[in-house]
Amino acid sequence: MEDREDFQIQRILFQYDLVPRRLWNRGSVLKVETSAGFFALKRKKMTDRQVDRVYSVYPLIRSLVIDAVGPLPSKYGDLVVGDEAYRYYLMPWFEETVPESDLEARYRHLFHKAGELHRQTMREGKGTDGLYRSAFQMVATRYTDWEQFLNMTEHHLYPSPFEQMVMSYSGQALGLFQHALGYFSERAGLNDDASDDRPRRALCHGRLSPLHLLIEGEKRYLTNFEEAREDFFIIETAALMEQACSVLPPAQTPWQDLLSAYFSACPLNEAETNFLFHFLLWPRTILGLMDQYRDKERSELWYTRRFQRLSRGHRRMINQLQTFIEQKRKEKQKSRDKEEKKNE
Amino acid sequence: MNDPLQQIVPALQVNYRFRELKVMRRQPMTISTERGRKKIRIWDDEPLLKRHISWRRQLSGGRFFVDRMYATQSGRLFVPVGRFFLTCHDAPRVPASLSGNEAIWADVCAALITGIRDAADDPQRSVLEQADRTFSEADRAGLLSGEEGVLARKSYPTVRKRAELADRLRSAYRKSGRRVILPEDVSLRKSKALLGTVFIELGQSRPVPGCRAFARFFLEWMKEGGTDSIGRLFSHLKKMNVPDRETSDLIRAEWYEPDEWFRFLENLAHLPNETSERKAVESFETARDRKNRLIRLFDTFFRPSGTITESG
Repeated sequence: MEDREDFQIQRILFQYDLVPRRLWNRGSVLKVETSAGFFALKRKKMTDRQVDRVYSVYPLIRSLVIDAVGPLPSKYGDLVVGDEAYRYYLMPWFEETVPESDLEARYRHLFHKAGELHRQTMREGKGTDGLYRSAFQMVATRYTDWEQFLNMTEHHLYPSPFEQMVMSYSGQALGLFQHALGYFSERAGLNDDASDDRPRRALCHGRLSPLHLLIEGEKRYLTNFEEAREDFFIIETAALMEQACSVLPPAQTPWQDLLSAYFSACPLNEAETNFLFHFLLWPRTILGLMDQYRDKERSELWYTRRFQRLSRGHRRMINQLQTFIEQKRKEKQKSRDKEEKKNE
Repeated sequence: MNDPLQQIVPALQVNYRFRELKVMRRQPMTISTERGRKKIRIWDDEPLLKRHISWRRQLSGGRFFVDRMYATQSGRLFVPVGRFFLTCHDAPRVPASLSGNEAIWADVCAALITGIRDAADDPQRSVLEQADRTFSEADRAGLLSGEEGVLARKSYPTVRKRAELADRLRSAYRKSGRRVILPEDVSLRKSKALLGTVFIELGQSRPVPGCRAFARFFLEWMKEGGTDSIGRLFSHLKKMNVPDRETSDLIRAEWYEPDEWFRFLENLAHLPNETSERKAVESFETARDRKNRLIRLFDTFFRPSGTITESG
């Protein structure tokens, strides 16, 4: 008996009663050809908590008929196999029709699928008071962080180009912070649980990414649900927008398409819309860059370019979101007026 | 009476979606399918079945295979048929070799020793009393007079000493609650080789203290693989801090128990000729010497309890 590497893969596949004919390394997955077809074998380090999550989330996803690809059960009924060093799971193989490099197209699909996931698992959420309070605390903490960075740079006799950029942007940024703080502090004081218009909960994917979406022709499937959990989904929507903002080129990001893709699948109520806007209002990604700057692991030029890109991207995202929301409100008003006229 | 296969075969086909199914053997039941050869077990004791399912789950995920139950189409790990339950298992055929695979086997032993612990029926018995009784009976029957009888008589003082040691080791852990257990019909030696590792079968019988199976397995290893090979196995186990003191003492107790002497005395009455007499003596002396060598080797790796040693 030899513990060869190919035996390890065969041993994993044996648990699915599959015998590999050919194997191909495709990034983080292994494409496997067997007499029963093609499969994707994923190998990764997973904590016990993530494995437990897989067992609790995938049956729920299957029962909700969400277009998601999850692990296939082994012949022993396991969704995840392997040992503590590496876990494996097997999925059907998809011949992707949108390349991984076409991020714009992948984000468009991802916004739509995220909307579908949130819409289909949505339920009324209690504890919105806590949601606003924690949003307020988060913004307040980050506001202080920004101020501390400013204090530090003010003590520099010759501020660096990056620090000068932050200083000149600070007036605008702190204004946005205060606006968001005002909104969250006001909402945190109201007990919204009795209101119809309040943020709702839904199943959140936890790791939305254009690479966690499989696209084959007209079919699109979400995958990698091991961090999924139920939460106020608007936080995940905001995180997805911030991610797209920092990944896609600022001037060409098709925000109206992305927002339409999400909102058409998951119409937001007023409370969620306002939460989203104010949660995105303060430039979180720039703060992240300022945190990184303290470590100075890259060149000054890199930080200044990144700052320009992120600040431009953030400004455009907010403007586009505002335009989109106003347009939606106008459309809503128009249809309400029409309805009233009809009733008269 | 209807043939039970008439119920079993369709139940297997439906629940495990076998397209082709042919019964190869009825006892134990083995079937051939388009997905290979499978073993079918029939259970009439549901709590025992669930215990077996749980043991196998505990042992899964290691570097070796266990004969786990297949999940049915509905995700259950057994198929109820009347008052019975069917389970389906892999059925590899190539015997696993011992020498050269000490590291994998050490993983198997460590997983079994540390993984399955439970209370198990362990009837209290005195090996010393059994030795005294067997000796008196053989003496009364006049079996201790011939050449072989004299050998049995001469061994008696050592046998008593070993029986006493076995009793003392066991009585020290009598109150221990959770000890190593294994199903009664487990034989590690009968394990199979599969894809570069070992496939063990946990069978389907009730749990018993597992030290007996380990003691037997190590003896079989000594006989087949030799001292160097089993030394390598012990060395791997020692690095894994396995077995614990209680388990190693209870394994020693199994070896101290002079069962080769009991067998020898039992055979004394049925030795028709000189050849069989010689064989009986040879077999007794070989088993005794192998055990002594194994105990000495085992003690070099796993220090015996300070208070309980052969020297008293």
